[in-house]
Amino acid sequence: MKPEFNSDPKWERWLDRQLKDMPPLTAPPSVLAQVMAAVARHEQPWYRRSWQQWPLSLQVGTALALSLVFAGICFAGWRVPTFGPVASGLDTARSWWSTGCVWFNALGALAEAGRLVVKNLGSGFVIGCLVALGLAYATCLGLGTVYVRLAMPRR
Amino acid sequence: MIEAQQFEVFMRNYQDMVFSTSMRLVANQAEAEDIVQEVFLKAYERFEELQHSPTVGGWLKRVATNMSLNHLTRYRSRWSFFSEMFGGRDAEEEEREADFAAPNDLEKQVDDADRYQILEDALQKLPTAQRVPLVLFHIEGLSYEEIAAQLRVSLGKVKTDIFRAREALRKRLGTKFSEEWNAV
Repeated sequence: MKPEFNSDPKWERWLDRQLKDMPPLTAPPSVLAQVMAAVARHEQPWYRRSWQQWPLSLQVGTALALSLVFAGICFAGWRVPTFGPVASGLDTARSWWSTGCVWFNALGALAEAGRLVVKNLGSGFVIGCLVALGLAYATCLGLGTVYVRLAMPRR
Repeated sequence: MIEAQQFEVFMRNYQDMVFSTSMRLVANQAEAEDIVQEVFLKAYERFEELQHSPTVGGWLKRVATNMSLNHLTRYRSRWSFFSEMFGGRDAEEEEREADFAAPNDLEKQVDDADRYQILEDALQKLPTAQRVPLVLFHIEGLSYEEIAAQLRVSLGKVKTDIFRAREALRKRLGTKFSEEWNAV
């Protein structure tokens, strides 16, 4: 079929020849390594590949199994708390939880008290304490080093 | 079990061809590399039969072409829409045209680089709607009808886009190579 649009025939012929004669582009060296790595992954047994690359039957099977497990957990969450021994166990857990909450509240109150103390003492005092702590640590480190050097001389 | 070394040799023989095919169609190195990887993974699955096949080059080229076109598929509806709406001048084209070297720069390029590199650059800077049918027609040797079927666009659109691509290249390269192509 004759084309509706015609370029200059000379240009078209020249362009056609140039495009056909164009040498292939050189693939980046990284391509070979990428493909060989992909091939190595492909060669691994199914259980060592990502789930998306598992055989279809296994994908379906595991999806079903996981759905069943999920449904089981939902069912258990709904029915189990009313079951006698479990219900008493849950009561015990609740009492532990409330004890934990009491401790948590007490610690929170202590932390708040500490914060108020620090606030009233002023930032200069706190910085001074931190510097003193740092110096004490450095002193301990220095004394320890001197002890090691003197008490355990190199042979 | 396929010998990895055999496959490596096979890949070394064909990787440039597969990369060129993808790169000229998608005009994006990272995407072309991904396509090369997919093509060779497909080849690996059929390596036993492919390694002694005399038509392996054609098979690889066809798969690379199809995968590149599939890759472009997700942009195709947008591309056709804008291409037809603005008479072939979509936003991408505007952007690409802005990247073209000015005539003076081109002059210098000719001195510095060889003609194929200039042609390759010009080709990759064409908008997708023009580059893809042009590459399929002139480099891959497909007919207008085959291109229309592959791209799922009308025959008229294929002809228009190829014409526009040739004219765009002539505008950019024609003056520089005028002596050559007028002598054809």
